[in-house]
Amino acid sequence: MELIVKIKSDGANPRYQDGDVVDAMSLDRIYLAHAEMICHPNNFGFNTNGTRDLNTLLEKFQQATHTYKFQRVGKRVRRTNLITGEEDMIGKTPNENGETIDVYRYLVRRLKSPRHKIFGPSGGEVWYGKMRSDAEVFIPVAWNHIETESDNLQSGHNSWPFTDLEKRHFICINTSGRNYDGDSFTRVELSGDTVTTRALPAVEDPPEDPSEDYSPVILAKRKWFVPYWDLSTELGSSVDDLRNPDHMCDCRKAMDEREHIDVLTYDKVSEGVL
Amino acid sequence: MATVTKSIGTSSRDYSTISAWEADLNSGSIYSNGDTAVGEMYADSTFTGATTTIDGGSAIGGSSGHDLALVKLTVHEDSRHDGTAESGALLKPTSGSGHNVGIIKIAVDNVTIEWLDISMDSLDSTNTNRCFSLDSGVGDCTLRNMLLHDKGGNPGSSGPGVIISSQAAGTSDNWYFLNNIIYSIIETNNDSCSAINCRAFQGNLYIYNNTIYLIQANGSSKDSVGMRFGNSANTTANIKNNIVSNLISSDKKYGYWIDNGSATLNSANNLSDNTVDSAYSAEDFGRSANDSTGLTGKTLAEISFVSTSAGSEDLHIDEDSDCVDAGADLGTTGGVEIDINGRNRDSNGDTWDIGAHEFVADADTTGAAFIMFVD
Repeated sequence: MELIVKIKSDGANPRYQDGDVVDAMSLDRIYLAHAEMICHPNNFGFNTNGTRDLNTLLEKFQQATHTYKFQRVGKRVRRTNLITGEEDMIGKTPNENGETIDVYRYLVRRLKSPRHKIFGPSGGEVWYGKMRSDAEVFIPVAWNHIETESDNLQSGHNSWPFTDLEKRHFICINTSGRNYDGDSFTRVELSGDTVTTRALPAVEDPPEDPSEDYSPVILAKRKWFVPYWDLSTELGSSVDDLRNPDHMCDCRKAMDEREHIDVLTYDKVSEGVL
Repeated sequence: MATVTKSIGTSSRDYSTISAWEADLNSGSIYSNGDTAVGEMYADSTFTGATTTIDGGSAIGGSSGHDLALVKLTVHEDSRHDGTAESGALLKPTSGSGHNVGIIKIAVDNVTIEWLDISMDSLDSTNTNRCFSLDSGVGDCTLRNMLLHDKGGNPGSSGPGVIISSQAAGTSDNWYFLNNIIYSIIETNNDSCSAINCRAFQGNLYIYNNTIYLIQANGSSKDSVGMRFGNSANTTANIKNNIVSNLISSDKKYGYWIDNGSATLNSANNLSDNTVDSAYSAEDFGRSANDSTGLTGKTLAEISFVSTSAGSEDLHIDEDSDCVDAGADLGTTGGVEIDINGRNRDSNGDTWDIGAHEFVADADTTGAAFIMFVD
């Protein structure tokens, strides 16, 4: 997990406080960002039809990351659910769910975009719809395609692309969990709620039966913080450097040197800050 | 008083996440009193942050009274969607935002958000149930030209909603919801479901040229809501040129619902389809408004969207649509003249359509000569 941490308070709660975790990136989120940049449509050309070629890395990536495959069959479209394997046909006449498509109109507008992701021959165009949500399933498949079809290795894309400005104005760190075997341990990546909650606000408890327009009061913009002023040794940088907006600080470390998450991040509620 | 534009994306931009850009809005080394802060997103990769609260830009550099004039989150012209999902800068959280919190929460005056494609179909189907939450501190606010879509599953104790607020705000505040396409917001376990619900707002509301399709509640006495507003007699609700279609519930299907009979309603040229309860149609708004300009009881065939196929939705209209040339000319209020494709209805002298898309024969029917039909 990587974290970007706020320097300086923006005012009283619920504004940002010094040391608040601004955002948290899981390894899956990092892998997805790099995979999408490698498989960006701008990196791939068009064929003489104006579509993209089938069986390219771009198409394989689209297939791995989406729920539906659509293939034009004349004036109709075959829709395949890539997760369940179910197929159906859609056209101008409503199906049992009332769904319709005017495939000509659909394709005309898509093909005008220089970033379109329409593949295959005229009359048999292929496209993909609805990005999948099960990142833990599709990201390994996508990276397998990337490693097979390009010179990129997944192992070389395990850091969030923090910008120079972010490294000057914020603190960029990474951390780890631990798997213990007796007294010894190995460092492991963090995932799931451990990552998610680090970048969420602290909110009031909801009522038992909230109204349809209920919105919880934010008590603090972030529930978790990094007391970097006490962690110079762990972060490998002086407080003055960390607070200097002209000094670029990237405190991320190799996995075997990362500090445990409990050393770096603290819950404001547990700590009595809120 | 300058406009300070910062790029947001993962390919050598100024910031890599929306949250990081927002967290720097109080930076005295970047902004000065009265500046406009523009965050310009690029479609380098999917924006996957769980939630962003926009409340920065006051007391810049720690100086009280030094505030941004406007906070604007937009998408660079080269990265804008083409009116369909995943064709431009996409915000699709990979984890839940927290129940009822909102993927984007606006809690400061003078905010504009435009051109984003936000998918609510996150990993955590139980708690990402709000797209936009307009919260305490919100003042003038504009949400326009966005695709907001795809909430399924069971989001816990209150159902899904897209633009939601329980804030009264000020009577002189202006909220503009313009040219957005909202679709496929589906509750699956005993809750109501809303596209727009800002009934507590007591200021000037401008809901113009939005397209709303497939809002589905689940359970007995649970409702589907296209748009609900005006629970204060102080509210002035300007509701024009909208489409509300395919509301599904076992109970009420509120297309257009103004709560307070004393609130001011300026409505014109809205459309409700044949799924909407007649008392809450584009004519009656839940209070027998008798707006004779409203189109009611229309079928999906008469609205004629390009595609309602799940996973490949395209809610542009075609030339056969009853919405073509059936709208009111709304001038340039809040930027309403810019349709979902970026076409300027005003400068082009178009006869306005209903909904987010302005159908133009040449632009919408030609341009890809290599497409052939092979039966």
